[in-house]
Amino acid sequence: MRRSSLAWALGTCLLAPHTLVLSKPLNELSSDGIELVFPRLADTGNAVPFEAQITAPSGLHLKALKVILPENPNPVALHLKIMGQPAQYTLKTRLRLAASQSVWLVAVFNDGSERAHHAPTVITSTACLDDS
Amino acid sequence: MSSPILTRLALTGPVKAGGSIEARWSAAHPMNSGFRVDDSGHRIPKNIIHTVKAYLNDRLIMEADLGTAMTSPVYLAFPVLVPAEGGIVKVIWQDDSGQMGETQQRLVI
Repeated sequence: MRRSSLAWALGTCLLAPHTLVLSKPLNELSSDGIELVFPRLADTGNAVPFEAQITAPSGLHLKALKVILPENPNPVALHLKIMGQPAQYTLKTRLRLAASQSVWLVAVFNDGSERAHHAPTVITSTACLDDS
Repeated sequence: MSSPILTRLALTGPVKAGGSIEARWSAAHPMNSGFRVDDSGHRIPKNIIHTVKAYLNDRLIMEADLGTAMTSPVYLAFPVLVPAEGGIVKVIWQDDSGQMGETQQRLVI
């Protein structure tokens, strides 16, 4: 029983389909105005601090932010809808990572345009199976 | 099952009308992702905070959909524009089991 559950959990971690609905591949979007603070190396994937500073292009303001972890079983970590009309935004959070990967931040502006930036990290143990 | 979840909301930075401060919100929620198993080998059902909403003077300023990649305790920091009259910042959350919570802090200029 325990063995099969473990196998199931492992399979869910490793074999999850990387399906996302995006207007364009992320790496074709401009990364101008997005600064990410993310450690290059993390001991565990249980809590990796993440900070994003976004500056909108002149004349535009932010509508939404998405934090995407492509190698996680559920890749969309956070979808933030912003109601004011800020041209600048600083978001800080902590993320759980299933594996070493790049975290992507997608910023959506009021004219519907998107910008994206990514930051890679290497982790030495997964957050999927550990129970701490 | 529904023991109280400790939540905390802190407002940091200089509170000046027209300026921006940082609101830091955290909740000591187990954030069970649904992928883990307990000591007897049973899968722990998914129970995470899936929605967080922030209000300034009862006006929605931010709504977040959270996924399983958010840590336990869950932590989120976001900017709040200080209105001239000051006011109250309120954060409410809801998890998969239907439990809800609310925390608020006063902005005094």
